[in-house]
Amino acid sequence: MKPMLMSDVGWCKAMKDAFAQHGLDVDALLAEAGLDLDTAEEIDLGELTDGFSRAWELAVAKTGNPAIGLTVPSHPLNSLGVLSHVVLSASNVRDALQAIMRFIHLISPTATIDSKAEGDRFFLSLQIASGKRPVPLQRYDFYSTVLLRGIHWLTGRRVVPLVFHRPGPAPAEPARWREAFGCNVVFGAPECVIEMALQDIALPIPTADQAVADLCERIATQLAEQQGGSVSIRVRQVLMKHLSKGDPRRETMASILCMSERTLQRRLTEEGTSFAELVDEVRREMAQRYFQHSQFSPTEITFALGFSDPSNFYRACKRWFGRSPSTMRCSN
Amino acid sequence: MQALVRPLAEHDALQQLTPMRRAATNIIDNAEAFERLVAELPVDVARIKSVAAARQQVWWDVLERYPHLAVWVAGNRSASVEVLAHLAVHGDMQTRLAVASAAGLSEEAMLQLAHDHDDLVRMRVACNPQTSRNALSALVDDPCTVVRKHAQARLAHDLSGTALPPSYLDDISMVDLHLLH
Repeated sequence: MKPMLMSDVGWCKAMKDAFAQHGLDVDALLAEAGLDLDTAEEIDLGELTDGFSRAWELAVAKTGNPAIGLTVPSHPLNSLGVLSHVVLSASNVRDALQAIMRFIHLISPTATIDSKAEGDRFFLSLQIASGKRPVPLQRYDFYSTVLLRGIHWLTGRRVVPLVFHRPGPAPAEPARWREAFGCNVVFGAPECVIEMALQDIALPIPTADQAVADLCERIATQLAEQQGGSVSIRVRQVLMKHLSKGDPRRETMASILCMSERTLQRRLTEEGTSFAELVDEVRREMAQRYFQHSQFSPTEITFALGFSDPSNFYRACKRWFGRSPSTMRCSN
Repeated sequence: MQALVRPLAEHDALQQLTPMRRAATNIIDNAEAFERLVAELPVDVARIKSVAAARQQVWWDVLERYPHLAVWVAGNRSASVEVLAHLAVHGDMQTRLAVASAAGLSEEAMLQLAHDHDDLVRMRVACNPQTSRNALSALVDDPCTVVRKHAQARLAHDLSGTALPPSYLDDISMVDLHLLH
């Protein structure tokens, strides 16, 4: 298989495009952030997401613009990369979004998207893996902006969300976010969610083509399987979605990833990690996020992270942060 | 001769329909009617694709007065060969995509699209079941691996593209899908 450079991954291109629009020296900024995307093929996910976070922090600092994440890339296809064919041939917005959810690791290895429908509403929730540093909120802004502009571009209609739920405190100029999203923005949300009308998700895509959709789905599935180094990424993505359902089990994970437990263990060992290590890492990252961006009590966080017993969370918290959950809660 | 006469006869018959009759038979006679149809919610894709124009001038009017609807005109089954040929060189890539997936394209338009600068468009030509042997031949040396392999497989195994061997795309990688730009 030919090598794939991270600089060619869709979302990296879109980010660089957004920075360039603000007159930033993109190469210098990425170098300062410690992101060498041209040699980043096998980069550790934690280092990669920290590099992106640092890049966005620098972009905010250099432009003095906390709303830089609301920048629209010059072309939505820049961020879709290999998924361009899939979304353009999908029959409607829902199918296109589901394809993006299934194959997001092909265009953005650090993000996961989940969805649910309730009544006449559709909720698109976005998670970004954090490493040692928190994820800047501009990264959530950017993903959400790109997704909404992508829907506009695909359908030819401006789809305005009903509500945009944004983690973190309200910015100094909240009106800029309301204007950009065209809807009410709830700040301080526990996670980033775009709430939309179900009828907007049913909007058709005029370039739909079932034959092309089938072919592209097959290729995307093949590419996803070829991403030999991505098993740990996929495990992390699944963990982020399912931790709240209880203590994660390796056999369940293997089943979700359509592989045997032994294969999962072998692939993770080849990647220098283990299922237990990944569970611990994801729990630490999510705990950090909950402490920083939510008002959840330590007990609520205990269960959100899938711990069956608060005493286990207490011990883990002391090990991760050197502090108890209640101290962490107070200090954030 | 009969094949030539019948469309003309049908054309005359359409001109004579009353407005009520036209609505009932899914025929539009002006650009505004098509614009309203596309704007309706929920969007009725099947109707947008199948609605017929009372005369081809309606499509030219739509393109002139509502240029953003070009992609929907390209997907309409009654758009003429001339309209589709015009849209095959449209500046908007999505419109060219819709044309490349259309049935009833002229050989000239098909070849035009087979040489489109955008991989996404050429992929549609490679996948269109009505693509001619000539147009597929134009794609066998395509710079995009997927387009090239698909065209080669159709020419070698099954011109319609419905019964291709499962292994012909086995060695595709991410780099082969570097479409963008």
